[in-house]
Amino acid sequence: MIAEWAHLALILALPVAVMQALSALSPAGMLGWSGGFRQNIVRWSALFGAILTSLAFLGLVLAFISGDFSVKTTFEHSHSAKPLLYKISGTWGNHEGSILLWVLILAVFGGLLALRKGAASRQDLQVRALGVQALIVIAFLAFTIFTSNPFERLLPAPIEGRGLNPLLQDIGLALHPPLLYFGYVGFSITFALTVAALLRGEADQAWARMVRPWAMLAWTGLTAGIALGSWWAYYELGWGGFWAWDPVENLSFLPWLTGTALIHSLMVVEKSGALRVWTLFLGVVTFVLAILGTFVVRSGLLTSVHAFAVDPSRGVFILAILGLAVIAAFGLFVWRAPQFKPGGGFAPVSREGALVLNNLFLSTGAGVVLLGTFFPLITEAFGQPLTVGKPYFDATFLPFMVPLLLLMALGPFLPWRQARFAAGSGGESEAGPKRRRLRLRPARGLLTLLVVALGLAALVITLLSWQSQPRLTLTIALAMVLAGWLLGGGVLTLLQRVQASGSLAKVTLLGWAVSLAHAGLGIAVFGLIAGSAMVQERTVNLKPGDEAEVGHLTFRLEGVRETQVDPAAGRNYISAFADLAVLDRQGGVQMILSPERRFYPIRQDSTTEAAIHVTWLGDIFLAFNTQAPDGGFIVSLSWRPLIPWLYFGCFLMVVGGVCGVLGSWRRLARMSS
Amino acid sequence: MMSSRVRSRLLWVSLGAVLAASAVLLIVFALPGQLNAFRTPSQLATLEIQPGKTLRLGGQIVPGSYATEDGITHLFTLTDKEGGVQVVRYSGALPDLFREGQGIIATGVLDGQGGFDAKTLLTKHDEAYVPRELRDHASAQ
Repeated sequence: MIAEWAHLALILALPVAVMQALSALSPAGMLGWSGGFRQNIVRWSALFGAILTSLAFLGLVLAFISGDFSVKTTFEHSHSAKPLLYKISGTWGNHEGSILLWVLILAVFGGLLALRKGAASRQDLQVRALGVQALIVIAFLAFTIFTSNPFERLLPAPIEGRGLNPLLQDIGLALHPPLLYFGYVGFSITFALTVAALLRGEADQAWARMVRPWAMLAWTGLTAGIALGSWWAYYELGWGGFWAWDPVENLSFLPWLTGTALIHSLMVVEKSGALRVWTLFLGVVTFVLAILGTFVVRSGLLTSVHAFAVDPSRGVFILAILGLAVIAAFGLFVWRAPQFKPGGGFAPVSREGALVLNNLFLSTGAGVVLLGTFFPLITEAFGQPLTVGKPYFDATFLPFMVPLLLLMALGPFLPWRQARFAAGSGGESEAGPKRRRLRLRPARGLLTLLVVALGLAALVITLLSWQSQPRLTLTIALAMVLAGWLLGGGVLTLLQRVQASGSLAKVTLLGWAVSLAHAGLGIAVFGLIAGSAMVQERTVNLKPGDEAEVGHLTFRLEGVRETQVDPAAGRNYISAFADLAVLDRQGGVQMILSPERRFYPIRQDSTTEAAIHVTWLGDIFLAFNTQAPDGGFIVSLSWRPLIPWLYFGCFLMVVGGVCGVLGSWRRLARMSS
Repeated sequence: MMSSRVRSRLLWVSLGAVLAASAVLLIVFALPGQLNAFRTPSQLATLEIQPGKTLRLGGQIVPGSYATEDGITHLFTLTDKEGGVQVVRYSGALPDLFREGQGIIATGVLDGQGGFDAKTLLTKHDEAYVPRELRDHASAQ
């Protein structure tokens, strides 16, 4: 019964969205409504739509929890003997449910945009953006209802469900998709605000100020979502490790690259009104890439480790939505962009200049990744589908990231320079104090940076003493210097803000945002380099009592034990554990790690659960594969230096993102009150 | 005033063009060595492919063909709907969803002695997913 109500709520959300779009986007005179009345209708529709979609989603979650197997989605992807967490996360562990989650986040974001009654000056912008948002909601609600309806019924209702794919019975599923979608869909608001600006022919500094918190919010969600996905692929065997340049990974990375460019170019627009057209372009591109990211994965067009089964009719529908969005948005852009007058100029060596360089490198990088990802489709049009792998991306993407990272440490120290050209822009009043505050003492700063970078490089070379290949060691050391440079830049940025404002407590949230995000990326790069080039790994056949060495570590197989299915303890599988002792130099047992192999009787599947011991210096990563014909046990033993820092760095970036959201939100509230 | 603004815009545009050009150059130089074609066992039999060139071999694991001695090096045979066969060797941990009768994509090189050395095996993520190339060319069903 709950499912019926939820289904009804989902269907009702569609006419509500239609009303929202019509009342927001119809010409002013047509309806004969006053501005305030129209605004209220649009805002209330957005809020009501968000509530209806939430109810629909809640209904599906309840169907999964209660095990209502008359709902086809529930039957196919759930089972009563499954821990509660996986019943809930199983809701979006399938196509229909995950699309509903997408629509939910879309509608809730629309509701959030509608929540604050915009100041009179921004009323028109808010209304039109909500209209654009409603158009997106309509497209994806229709997609959900007509091709991917999660509430389809099965009669008579089966007694038991088929169970969730064991690979997905993981905390990763509970966290990664919602955050990733949060990021993707968050860019729908920046898109809606961008299209609204194009419709109005106006994108001033107030516009940039309004877009910034949303762009930061989406960026933060996307960063967290990608990092968690990478972490999940890292510990799940056979998924190619933390980053494999797999098409699905690349597709999530593309909007991240352009979104990162967007949050930086918005700063220039807010400061001086320059780069407006480019920023509008990024606003459109980023959301188009986000749709591409969500749906190419589900269209079956690209072959990936992370792909899931698809129904071809859905692919066509998605491509139709995508095509329509691309044509409409870019058409509008091409039509309207020439009408925007150029904003303020700036000197080449200035904060603005650095931000433009950031944008150039990021978008070139996005371009080569896009080309590599779609290469199989492009070449297939000429005959044979040809794919490119990691070497392509390393050779074409990294060369653009090295100068970007080098400049990134310096950018925040450069002074804003728009005052020189202030004639065409209105931001002069803000420029005075900023310029004085951001004086840097270049010599001292650079020296500190250099010391930090070299110190870290020395540390790494010491750590690397067991590496026998000098060329590799040199490359790694140079890359580590780069990471150290970046980390140093982030730390110095913070110190400089402390110096300028007088104390740590007085550093603005936006100051924290830039320092944490930049330093976090530096730290993440350390882990990234080590994880790509310094991993030591062996797969060995051990009998109880046998020892094996990997790098500086020695392991001994103590034995193998089994546990049975125990629904009371939340275990719907049979486990076999290989108990591996980590030995110290004297041969004593330091600790015992137990990688696990699970067998799920319901679906006749098995999974490998790695045992990971996290330390400051790196991870000990053990996996238990199978039993060999000779009775030995096959285990993979590896030492993965510095990997935890990759995720700690990402965590800092996310914290930086949250600071950025709050900081830019506060500024918006202050400026508009 | 105006001219310096135009000059700075010119600077950025040309810088963008330089970056785009270098991207094109990098791609042109990086591509030739990195293209991995998709092949089926039948195609391997008819085409002359150099040993050592990376390619993606797709097919179905012949039931009963899987063998291992030490549990680390695995041997199995892939087939396709034209009936071609190719012996594949893979060392390391097998993916969880590796099963006889299933379609997989193996990335690797021909060893020059009739065998195929796989570096990675792409199996299915969920049991309903079939990689597109397999659906189009190689599935024996």
